[in-house]
Amino acid sequence: MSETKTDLQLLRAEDAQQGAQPEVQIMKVKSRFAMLAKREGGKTAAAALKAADAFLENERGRYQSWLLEALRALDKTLDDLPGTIPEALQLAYRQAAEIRDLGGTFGAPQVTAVADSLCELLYRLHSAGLYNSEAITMHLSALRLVCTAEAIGDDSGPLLAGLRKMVARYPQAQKTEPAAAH
Amino acid sequence: MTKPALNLNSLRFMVAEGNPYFQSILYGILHALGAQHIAVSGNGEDALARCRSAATDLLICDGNLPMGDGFDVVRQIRSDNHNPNRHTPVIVLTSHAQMQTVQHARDCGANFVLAKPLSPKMIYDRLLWIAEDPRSFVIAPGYAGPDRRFKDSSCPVPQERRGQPIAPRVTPQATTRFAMH
Repeated sequence: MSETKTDLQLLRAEDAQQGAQPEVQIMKVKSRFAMLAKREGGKTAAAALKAADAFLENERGRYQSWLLEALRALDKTLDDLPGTIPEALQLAYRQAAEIRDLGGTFGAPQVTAVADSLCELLYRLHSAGLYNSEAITMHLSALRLVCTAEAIGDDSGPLLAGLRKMVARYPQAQKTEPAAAH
Repeated sequence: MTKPALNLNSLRFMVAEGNPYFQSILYGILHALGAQHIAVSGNGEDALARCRSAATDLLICDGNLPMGDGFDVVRQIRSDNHNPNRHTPVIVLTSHAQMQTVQHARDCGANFVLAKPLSPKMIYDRLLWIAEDPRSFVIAPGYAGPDRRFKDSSCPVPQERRGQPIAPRVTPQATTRFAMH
């Protein structure tokens, strides 16, 4: 068996000789989660996922109410823009991202896609220090349409293409997470 | 292939999420998957205080929490030798799954990053991963958390999101260097 020691082992031996705490500690820790989650008696994956899907299905009505309220809040944020543009764009970005994220969870692809385009627009505007009410209003109108009309079938393609074209007019920002706006 | 069953009955979950509605959805999904003990927190300060005072078995924490950034909450939990949740698995949620955010999450000591929008299947898959995560826990100057030198080609890439996937925001590098979906 080789007696070659790794750099880490040598460092530890040196530390031990000097009575110092080793600089790097590597531990095998089995979490309680790992110990208990695989025990017998749990739900099968199929049953668990079926229950979770049923929960979301039952939640759909409440989601629609939340969505309309979130749209109203987003409208208000963007109405209040003059004077506080950077802050309002950050808050609007966060609100649009919430609409996008929950749209994905509830299987609303058009809501997700339009809200994603709005997020991108707000992000680019914020990064470039710009503001364009026409582009924002167009996105809000499209979002309102897809949120209230349930689905507009395959006709959403040209709508999305138009929105993305509008977003593409602005330079792509370096991707960093916008500061939290609470 | 059939997924293994998970027994979540006696496990303690903590959900830290700033949006109350999203919080309730996450609670509902976890409950439907079998979790019985789920604590919720709406901001970073509260989440950190709860984690200091009681042990939990899994923390699901949004990266963008009000009153204390979620990444910082995880970093503080990991670096505190007296925190009962120092070794507790953590899933960080994010709406911004760019490489930079993933690196941020990795460096704060999270076990996994989960990009919104979430689906029950994504959550279930990540819980399975947490249950089987073989990584060691590392304490080094400037870092405490699961071993970041992690590469597993069997890392399950989600095949399904509810609804249309949004534009992919994950670089291939991110999925191989750090489990990130």
